Amino acid sequence: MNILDHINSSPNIIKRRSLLGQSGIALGSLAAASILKAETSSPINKGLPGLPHFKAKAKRVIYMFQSGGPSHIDLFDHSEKINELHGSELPKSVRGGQRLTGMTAGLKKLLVCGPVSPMKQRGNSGTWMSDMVPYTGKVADKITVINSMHTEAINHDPGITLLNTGSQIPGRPSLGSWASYGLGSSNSNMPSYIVLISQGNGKNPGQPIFSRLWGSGFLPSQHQGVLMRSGKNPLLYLNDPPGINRSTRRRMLDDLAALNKETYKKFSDPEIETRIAQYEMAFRMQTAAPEIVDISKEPESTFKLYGEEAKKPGTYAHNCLLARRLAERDVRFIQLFHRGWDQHGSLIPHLTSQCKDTDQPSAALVTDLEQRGLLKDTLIIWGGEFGRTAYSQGSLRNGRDHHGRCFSIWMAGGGIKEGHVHGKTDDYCYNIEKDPVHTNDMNATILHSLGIDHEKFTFKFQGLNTRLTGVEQAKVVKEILA
Amino acid sequence: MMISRLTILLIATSFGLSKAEEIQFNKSIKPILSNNCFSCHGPDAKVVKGGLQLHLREKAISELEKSGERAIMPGNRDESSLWHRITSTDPDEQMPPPESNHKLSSEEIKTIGQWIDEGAEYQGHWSFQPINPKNGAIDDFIKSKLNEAELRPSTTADSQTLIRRLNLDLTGLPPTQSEINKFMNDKSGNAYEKIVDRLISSKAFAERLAVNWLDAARYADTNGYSIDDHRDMWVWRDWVISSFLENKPFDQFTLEQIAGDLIPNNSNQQKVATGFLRNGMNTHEGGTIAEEYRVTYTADKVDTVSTVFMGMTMKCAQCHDHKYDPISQEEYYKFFAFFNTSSEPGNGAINANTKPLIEAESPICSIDRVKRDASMRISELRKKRIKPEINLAEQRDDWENEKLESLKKQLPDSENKDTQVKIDNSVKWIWSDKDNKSAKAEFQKSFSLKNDPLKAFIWFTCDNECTIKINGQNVGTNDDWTKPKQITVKNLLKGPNTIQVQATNQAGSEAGFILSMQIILSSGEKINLVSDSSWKSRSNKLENESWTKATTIANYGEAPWGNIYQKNTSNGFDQNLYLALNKNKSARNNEDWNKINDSFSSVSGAFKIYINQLNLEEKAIQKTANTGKSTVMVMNYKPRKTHILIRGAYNQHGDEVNSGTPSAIQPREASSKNEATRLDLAKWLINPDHPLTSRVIVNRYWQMIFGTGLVKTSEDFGAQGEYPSHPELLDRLAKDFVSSGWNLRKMIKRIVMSDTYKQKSNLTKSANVKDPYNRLLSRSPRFRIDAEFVRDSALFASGLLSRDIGGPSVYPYQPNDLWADVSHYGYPSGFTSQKYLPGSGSANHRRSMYTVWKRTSPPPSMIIFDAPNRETCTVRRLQTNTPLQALVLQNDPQYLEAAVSLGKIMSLQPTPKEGIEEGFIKTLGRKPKEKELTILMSSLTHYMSTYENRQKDAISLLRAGQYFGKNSITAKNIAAWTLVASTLFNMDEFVTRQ
Repeated sequence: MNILDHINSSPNIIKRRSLLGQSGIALGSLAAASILKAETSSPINKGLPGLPHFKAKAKRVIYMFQSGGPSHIDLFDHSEKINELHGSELPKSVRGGQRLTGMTAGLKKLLVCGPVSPMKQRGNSGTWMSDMVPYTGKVADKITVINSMHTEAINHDPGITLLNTGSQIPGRPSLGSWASYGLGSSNSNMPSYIVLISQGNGKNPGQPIFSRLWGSGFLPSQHQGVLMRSGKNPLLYLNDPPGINRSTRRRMLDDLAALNKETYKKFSDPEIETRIAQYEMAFRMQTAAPEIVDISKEPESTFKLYGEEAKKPGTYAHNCLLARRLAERDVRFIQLFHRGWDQHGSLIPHLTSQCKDTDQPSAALVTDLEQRGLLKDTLIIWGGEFGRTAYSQGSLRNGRDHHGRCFSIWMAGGGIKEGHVHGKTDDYCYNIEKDPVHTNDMNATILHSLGIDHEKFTFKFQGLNTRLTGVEQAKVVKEILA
Repeated sequence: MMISRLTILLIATSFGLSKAEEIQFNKSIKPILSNNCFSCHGPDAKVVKGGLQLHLREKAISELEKSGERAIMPGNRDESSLWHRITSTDPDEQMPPPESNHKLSSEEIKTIGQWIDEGAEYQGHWSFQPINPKNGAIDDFIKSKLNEAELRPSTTADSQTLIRRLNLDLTGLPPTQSEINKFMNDKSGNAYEKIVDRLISSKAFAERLAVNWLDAARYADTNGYSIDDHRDMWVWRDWVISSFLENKPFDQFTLEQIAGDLIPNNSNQQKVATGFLRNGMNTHEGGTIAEEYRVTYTADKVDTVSTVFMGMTMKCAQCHDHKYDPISQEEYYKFFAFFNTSSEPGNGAINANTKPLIEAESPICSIDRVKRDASMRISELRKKRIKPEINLAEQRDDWENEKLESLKKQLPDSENKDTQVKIDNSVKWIWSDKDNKSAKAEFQKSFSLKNDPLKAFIWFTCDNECTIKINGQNVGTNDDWTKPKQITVKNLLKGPNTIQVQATNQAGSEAGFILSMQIILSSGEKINLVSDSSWKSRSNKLENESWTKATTIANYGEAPWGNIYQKNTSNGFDQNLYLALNKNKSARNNEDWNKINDSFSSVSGAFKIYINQLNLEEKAIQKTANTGKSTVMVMNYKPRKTHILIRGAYNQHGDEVNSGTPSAIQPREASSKNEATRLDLAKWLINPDHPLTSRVIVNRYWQMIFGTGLVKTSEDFGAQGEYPSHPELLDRLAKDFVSSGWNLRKMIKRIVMSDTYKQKSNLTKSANVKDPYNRLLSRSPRFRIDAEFVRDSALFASGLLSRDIGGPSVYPYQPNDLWADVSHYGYPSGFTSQKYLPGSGSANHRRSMYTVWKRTSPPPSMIIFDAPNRETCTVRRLQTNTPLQALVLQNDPQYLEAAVSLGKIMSLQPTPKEGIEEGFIKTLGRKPKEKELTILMSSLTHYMSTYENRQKDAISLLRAGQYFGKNSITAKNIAAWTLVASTLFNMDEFVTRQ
């Protein structure tokens, strides 16, 4: 079923039509008013006319955001020489006057620290990966690793804000809200942008995250990410209160629709119809959302794949499983935030724990989606806001500071090459030597997979045709597209 | 996209452009050029392509150096290269070029052609021109536009609609029955005006105006970036309310907020006013480069002041000359320089306000009131020690049961139950000899008893193994220093006794020992014997070493083991803990609870973090509870040089600049020998001849009342903003606003007194076609009220709303752990505002503007109803209509509790019909129509029968929010009414101003 069929067959529309029939006002005039009002609200989030700009490879996105700055040098970015360089001083020429955070700016010597666990080549593609991520290693032939990501940001707040909103300064809409705004929802029972949060076992609490990362900025607020939480109330205010059962709620909503229709008769305001439709969607959501988080019918094989942790609500593994269930229901943009990747110290134990949290379930998601035939039109992204320094913070192997000059992410599905590595850094995994990919290039690429030309996709705010990818030129990374 | 093009066409048509009237540059041409051409042919001198700039007429009509052509030949489109370019289909010729993503519509091309033929006259940008009003009343201007569009104004709305509209617009609250009745029965000619006068002088009006100002000023209770911990700016919020309450002239209101600290002989409150500039976010994230953020904070001030007072964003010019508006990068930094002169640091303070700050009291709350509120908060926090959040309470309950059981097992013999070992500071750790480190030590103490001992027991431990002998007989050992033991000893004699202890430190460092002994003699006398310097000791380092005085090291619980040791005392027998646990919960005192909480904290990390958070929050408000005052972040003056920052980068200094205002905006500043300060800037803004300030402000209040401003883009009066729908009206209002002494109340009164305001809001067929957006105001607009007022209205209608004004922020209902999920909650040293600790009682019923605002996790029910997150300045909220809003109104405990309360009120009416009528009046300000009554009567009966046999369900529904009554007989009745009340709160009409 394509998106349009889906919308047309939804109960909302039927409801609307019958309502229009009774209202005594010509359909034509009302329809015109509704379209004109589309800039503020519409019964179903249909996205913008004219979008996608071209045929999309991905219908939906699962973004597994790793908050805190996972260490590229310990996990994905391989250098032949790094082990020889271990313990030596980072040459000034490599550092090249880079600004350091206040945390290591005072260090007298910057000592190079090789990966804390051995790296191996994986799969037929021979993609290098650490022993810390064995499961990801098994799907190496399904994914593209980019080792040449870079960002200007050197601290978490600006870094994570840049990656998720295209600007270090708060106030811009998030990537997911842009997708919702442009493409709308393809599920009439659920919000188009869902966010799931988990705490890492490596560093707990991890660096804070912010609702602006899934906020809608200056876009209409219906496009903001909606938190899905573990437990009995998966969406805020979802559950009927104790003492109200479904049939009572249904009766109340029927009353409400009848009363609102009376108001509509008087004022002919299309917003009233929209509100009636939204109450119906809310009612459906009350069934749809709990059904998504109810994993009791998942077979044992699921937990073999994702790991036993997936049974435990609130864990990253559980959220990965929910992401698959959301993808199955065609939710447009699903974003996981896993915290705790900020290894200034306790590098080895904390990094090990973070990998234990994420490695198996992240890889499982790729495998699972593929088995279900969903990988081809689902874009998967795994990555954080920056990488970590090749030199040690504190004593050797104690920890690593933030590093924005290069870092690694991986992507899969939705038109991304399989078994591919993009970009190259120097011997120190410190500077990019080949094919730099700025965070906004990656966002341009994500939009491209969704069939959107990031340069044409704008929203006028404070006089500017503002876009996700910012004012500087951003480019789609064509080399990683299948 | 398609929508916007359709819109432009429809608007163009409805404004009658098709009638070949003369084209006005500002209205019809400038928007086209700005949107499509200026990015390459506009004010930004650095990117001019082909040497052509179109923003100035003399440049647009002059001969181009390269081609010798003229882009525009006034009066002749055929000789204008611009015309050929915009009509060309050759991709190499075509303008705008295909790759620019810009394209002119045929209507736009036609308009440009006509304008060139008519002489291509330019006008200065409309909003920079002097205010030049025509005579007329609001209605004259509106009617004239309606006539042009062949529309007629709508008739006047009925009285009930009007009084509800007035109340919602002016106070954010619905009217009461008595207000409605009074108005309906007042037959005097000025009945309406009397209401207006009453409303605009009310406290609720001041609060209502303040809500919009908080958005503009990006007010919040947290620091914003990264950790996003607590700050205190509520005194500034109170200053805003008090200013609206006294109808402070708007020029003064502006002056004080921008430069209150620089006004000669200023008052403390005038300094508080400058908190406006300090409301911006700040950070103390580890690794922050302070100067980078200091620049960011300053840029945020520029953005806020220019948006709020000038309707201009200058942001673009931070990195390069503005592409659309005549603001150069140099001018940006001249403006920046006004705010660059303060001692505000780049690294913000932790858990507190950042300097410069002053201590101040609220201008609207008495010191006692503030003390009361802050103390109430503290007692709420303290109650949470006794009654923590549910999951921790359950864990603690489980632990209490287990712990009590295990302590009972460790109890000394039953005969000793009533006796307790005293462990105070007289009990010392003793050492053989601290300097002469030895891994083995012996201790000895002799004492004599006057008569027979009845009971005796000892409490002891050691570092890290020991054996105790009394009078030569073994009485006990301890090989786990973390677990003190308590044992009964029966080997004491009347007369001389000796205790001997053999201690060994297996770890090789020095050995130590600690003991407390309790003896009750047959005479009833109690003797307490403790380890201290009266004991003898010797190390076993040398054979037969002599006995010396024992060295005392520390009290119990202190060094060398300190907290680590204390943590583990729970594993030993702790008499105080036992006694505390053995009491009924209600019988425990604070000391008991502290004992229990300390002990539970040592085994539950989650609980320890929770208690730590309570401590931090209490500490943050303690001073306010003591003094009734608070600190406020303010501005000060500290000279500092300002440089142009190349590409906006904080460390790329270009030329040095002095402070100054953009030259394109009149009036030009008076030449001054000294460098201009914020005070000069403020005076420039409130100069009666300033073309922007009064227009921008008047427009925003028009927007507040009509939902859309006369300039729809109320945040942008620049080239890219929308041309006013009624420019003459805007000028009339602006001029009169200034000449009235910037009298806000007078201006708002004038608007709501107009016929335009009083129209019906029904949409007619012809209006739907000719005025679909209602920009011509052919009817009164109909729109959802703002987030705060939806909640306030429900509280008000249900009789729950607290009418307290001002004071510190409150913590009403919020779903659990929204803060903790994203915050740094659990970080060892802890930060404030990392976990939401809900309040109780009236905290749940204050107006929404007092709800604590954490920027990284703002109140969800506000955000869902389109409130901005307060990270940056917002002067226009968008409106959405979503399923999440439906869920809030149905299921948020706040609204359920209000429904219970309103349901109860309705149930008390003599008949169900009157009950429903009461509910309608309270929520919608009118009586129900027959059909509405029928619908709800039938459901009420149905609900009553539903709950007839479901007493439990009825009671659990009533427990939403704070519990209402326990009378189970009326529960089912009230539950049924609650559903009716909830239905009313969910009606479109309830959340709508119409």
